Amino acid sequence: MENEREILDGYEEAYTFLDAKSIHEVRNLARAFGVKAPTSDKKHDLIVRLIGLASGAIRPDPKNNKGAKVKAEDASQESVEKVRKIILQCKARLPYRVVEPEPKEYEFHDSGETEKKTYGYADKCYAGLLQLEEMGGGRLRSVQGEVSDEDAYVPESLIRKYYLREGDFVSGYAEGDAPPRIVQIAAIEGAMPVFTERKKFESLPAAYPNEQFKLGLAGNAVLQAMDLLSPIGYGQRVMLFAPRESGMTTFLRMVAEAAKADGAVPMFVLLGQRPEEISEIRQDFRDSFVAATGFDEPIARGAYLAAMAMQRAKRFAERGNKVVLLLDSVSALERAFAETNGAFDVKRAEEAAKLQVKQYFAAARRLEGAGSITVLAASGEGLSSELSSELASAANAVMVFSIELAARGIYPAIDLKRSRSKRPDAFFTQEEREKAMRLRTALEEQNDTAKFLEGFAKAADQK
Amino acid sequence: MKIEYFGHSCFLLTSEDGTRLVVDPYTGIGYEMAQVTADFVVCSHGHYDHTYTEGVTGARAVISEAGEYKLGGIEAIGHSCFHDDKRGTIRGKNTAFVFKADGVSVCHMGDIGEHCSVSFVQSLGKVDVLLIPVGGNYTVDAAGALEYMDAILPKITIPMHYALEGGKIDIAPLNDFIKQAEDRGYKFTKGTALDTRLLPNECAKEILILEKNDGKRT
Repeated sequence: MENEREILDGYEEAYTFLDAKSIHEVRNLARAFGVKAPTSDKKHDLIVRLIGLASGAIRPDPKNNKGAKVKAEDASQESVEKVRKIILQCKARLPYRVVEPEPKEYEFHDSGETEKKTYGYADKCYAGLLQLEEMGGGRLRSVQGEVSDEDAYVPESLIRKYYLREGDFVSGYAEGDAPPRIVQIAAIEGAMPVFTERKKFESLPAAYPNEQFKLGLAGNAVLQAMDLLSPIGYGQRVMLFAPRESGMTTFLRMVAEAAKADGAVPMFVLLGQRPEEISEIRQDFRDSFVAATGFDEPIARGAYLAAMAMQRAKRFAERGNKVVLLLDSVSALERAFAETNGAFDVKRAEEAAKLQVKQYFAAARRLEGAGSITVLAASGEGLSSELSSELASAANAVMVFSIELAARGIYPAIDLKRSRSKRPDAFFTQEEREKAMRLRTALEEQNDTAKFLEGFAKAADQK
Repeated sequence: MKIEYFGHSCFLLTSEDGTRLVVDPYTGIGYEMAQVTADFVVCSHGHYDHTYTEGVTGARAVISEAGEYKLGGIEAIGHSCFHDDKRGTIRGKNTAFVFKADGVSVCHMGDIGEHCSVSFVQSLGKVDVLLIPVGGNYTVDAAGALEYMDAILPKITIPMHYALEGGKIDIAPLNDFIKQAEDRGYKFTKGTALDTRLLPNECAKEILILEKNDGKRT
């Protein structure tokens, strides 16, 4: 019933008074106060309706002339007066309720306008990555991946007002504790908040990569050969098949360097890695978002961080940046997703995780009229695993690493013969195309990839 | 931490627990700094435009040597470097201080004159806010400062030691630095003070030009 809670809270006295009476008396009183068909209701509902009608909290039912004429009112004038008096007393004691009317029009804010109070140094301030919640609103989560119920809460109204999205790094002034509630947004990505709507990743059309991502920019001979034999572009989905000890971390670092040299934004998603490697990458790529968990940390943390990194990548791509997301590894990501999907039904959790990894990988694209997300995802298992082969078919470039090459001291140990990319000619000029052709013929003639690369490096030096 | 600019190379850092620290108070450069109250004074080197401790009231200690210090709620680590690019033979030594409090680290480069080197940048560790001279002549110039910024990758950079209105020492105004930084893709913002809680998560290639506090603001 509408307002039931309010009635029970505010008119407790009247309720107990009526509750002490028998059902017949209550029915008679209810009829006297204008309750329709009092015999068909339970006592509790009757009392609530009675109080509601008498106090004006419930609107009276419309007049109805159908049905039998109501019996004479059996309640004595005296008891009716008494109930009315108690209800009026209760009403007088009610706390004044602030009724906020729905805004009739949209309010427009420009950046000059601030909230009623200006917050500053004396106030609590929280910063973190915004994670939206199903029930509306969001939380500011740590970049390290710990998730707590005490994380600052961002109300839905602020999220709408500032067009905040998941993965934004938001600072805000807060009031209250456990959890603190953000009352004013202080900065978004370290800059003054603006009330403008941004382009939305999901609504921008996907397009073929049209700009080559030159891995060889950092000066590595193997990668320069890769640029000609199986070039990749911004927006490509690249699978990396790398057995253990084939130099994956080194390769990812080289790619990140190349991306930075080209003005792109590298991002790392490293799951279950050696802690010292993580801190080294954090140190060396201080201007990049590093979502990393050590093998000594809970697996579930990885799922949250990886999802956050992807949201963040989308936010950067919307703004027109070329994001290069480096994921190591897909199997660790699958495990992390499976863990968070719950242990209720292991098989279904695993199936769902597989799908999530696929969706994750499929987010790589070039956006028409904005930036791009390039994903390089490493798999340690080779094509044998079901997930890897499925991802390989979704990928539009594959790089295969070989232990033999790594053992001979060739880094990164990419097996040029087994690596491929779709539409390799799309980025090339006529001259480059001829060069690539020559190189491919040379590679086919030379059985030993290591020797081929030595020759290539020499030729590059002579130039 | 709150960071305010008092002109020349002088900054007031206030940590969340209320510790106030002034770096490089100055005098005799054409304009004078506003009188300021602080718990500690830190001087990068012994020149008059960096050691005017009389301009600060209430200071319990003055730090001017390299080393590690605990100054109230602020931890300070001084790294020795040179005032010129000739290993100190012209202008002697300088100390770059890294201040850590409230989870951020702020590096004040003093009058650094030596060229950017990998080993020195690594010794500084993680730097969130970089305060760096850009005026040239006695210190690194705009190009030199940008070299440091590209190597240190702070979340935000605040330029200092440049010619302000009324200044009479021979250093360049900001114009050249702004032009060169813009060419390298840096963004500019202006402000009266920096609240380090509002910093971004990663280096955003941002430069904050702080307005000089004339003592009218608190």
